[in-house]
Amino acid sequence: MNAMEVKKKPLKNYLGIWGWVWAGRYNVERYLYTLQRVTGLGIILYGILHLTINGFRISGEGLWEDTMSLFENPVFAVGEYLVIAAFIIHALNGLRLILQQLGYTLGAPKPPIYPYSHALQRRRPIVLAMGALGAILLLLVLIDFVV
Amino acid sequence: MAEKEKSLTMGKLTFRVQRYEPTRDEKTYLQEFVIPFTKGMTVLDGLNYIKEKLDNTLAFRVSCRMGICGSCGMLINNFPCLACHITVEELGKDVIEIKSLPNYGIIKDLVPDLTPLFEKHKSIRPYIVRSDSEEMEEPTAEYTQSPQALEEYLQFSFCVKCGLCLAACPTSATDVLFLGPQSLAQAYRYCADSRDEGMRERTAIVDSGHGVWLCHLAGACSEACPKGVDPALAIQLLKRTVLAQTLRLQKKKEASPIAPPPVEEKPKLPVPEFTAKPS
Amino acid sequence: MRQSYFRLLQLITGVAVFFLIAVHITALRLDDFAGGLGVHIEEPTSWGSVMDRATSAGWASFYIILLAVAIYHALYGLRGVLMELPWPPVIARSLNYIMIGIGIVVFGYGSFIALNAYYS
Repeated sequence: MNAMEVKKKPLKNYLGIWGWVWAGRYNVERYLYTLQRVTGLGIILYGILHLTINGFRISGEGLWEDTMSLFENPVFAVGEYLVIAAFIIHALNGLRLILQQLGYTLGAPKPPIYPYSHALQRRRPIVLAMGALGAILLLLVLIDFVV
Repeated sequence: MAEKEKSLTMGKLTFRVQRYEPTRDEKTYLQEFVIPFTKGMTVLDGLNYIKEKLDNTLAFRVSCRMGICGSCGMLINNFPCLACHITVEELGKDVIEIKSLPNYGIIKDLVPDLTPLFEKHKSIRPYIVRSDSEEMEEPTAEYTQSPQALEEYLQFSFCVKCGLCLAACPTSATDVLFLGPQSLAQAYRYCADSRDEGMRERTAIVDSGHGVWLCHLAGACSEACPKGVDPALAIQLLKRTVLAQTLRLQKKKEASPIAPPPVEEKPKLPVPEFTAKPS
Repeated sequence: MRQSYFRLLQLITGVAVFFLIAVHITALRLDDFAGGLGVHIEEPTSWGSVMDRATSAGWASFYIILLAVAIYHALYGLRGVLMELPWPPVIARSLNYIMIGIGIVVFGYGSFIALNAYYS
């Protein structure tokens, strides 16, 4: 074996986009990150659709009323609920992220003494409270939709 | 629980080890080894057994085998761990899958190419930077620091550069240029040091396109860190410091001065009689 | 250019867009909530109601502000996601300009619709 053969480039081993989504047994914030990303992209898709449909008003009343009667289908109500749910999740988690990314609510560094804990783990109640608030809001919106 | 105990005391473990020989293979494959279980054994003990008794071509990095050097970072049952740090009983399974750390290249078998980690670490100037470069290069005395100032960064200085955090970080999964939790945490470790004056230089590196703002606080790095360094916390504090500096909200503070020479010479303690016996 | 200015704007627009969209959704879709808060919009998607809002100065400016804030927040967020992908260097370099271009086009289109209806 000559020296050149050994100098072969290392095999690439990046997880890729799938690595954003699933990684195995991690903390809840790891998956809130995924959820934040998915809901954000979902809202962008909805926003494009929303703007396009709203543009129909330029063509006058006829096309507008035709399009709106199309959306009376309950399938679209479910879709709308999902969009509002995505907004609630993205907003609540986003407010948590704004606070924590600026270093608030995380506490001061703590000397690592076994068993180790990390700041997000020590502040898990914030996530739980946020989850509870989100669940209440989702339920209220559902009641409003059904009634 | 009972089943787990039973399966482990059966005495046989299956290690599914990732293999890759650069001169021969195009991609990696898993090879199975059956090894005996002994009480309290770590995953690294199992790998050592394979290397000694079953297949001496297996390559992995190892040095201190006690969680200090950070050489044996591997993906064990789909979670980045130090192989010496995790026991087979902790995993609770008798089939253990061991792969090379993701988000790095693979050199051979379980040996990841950690060069990018070290390059990124170097790029954030991981040492105390002083404005007085003459004193910095040729120091005449040490700089003073209070125990309170030490607490500000002490936790982050326990990093062993094992690279597990980059293997856990979702941003590093796609972004090769992202500085990564390790070097960002170390950037904060030096910025928070009261002896340091290099904040401005480091901000220029860290506050860039692939820098600190691509951290989205998934917290996976802190979950994976075997030394309790908590890179996620350090990065959030770094974000706050960088933002405060950008908005000029930061209070100007002087870096700690050089320790003054001792005013009076303390008398040397006499050597206790019971240790030194004049012959 | 420092990223932290843009990131700070992302956080500020995040808070702003939260309140604006909360008002938008509550007033137009959640009629029981809105009724409880004293807002009554009859059949918000009917042509008459839509045009009523489109020609009121308050609603029209609300929509244009919401559009601007939401576009910044969405496109900066999307840019963050796209930045992490291994693009060929040409795209990676021009990503910011592509995003700014998309932002201007979408804002132009949206505000054109709003102003067109307002002055009709």
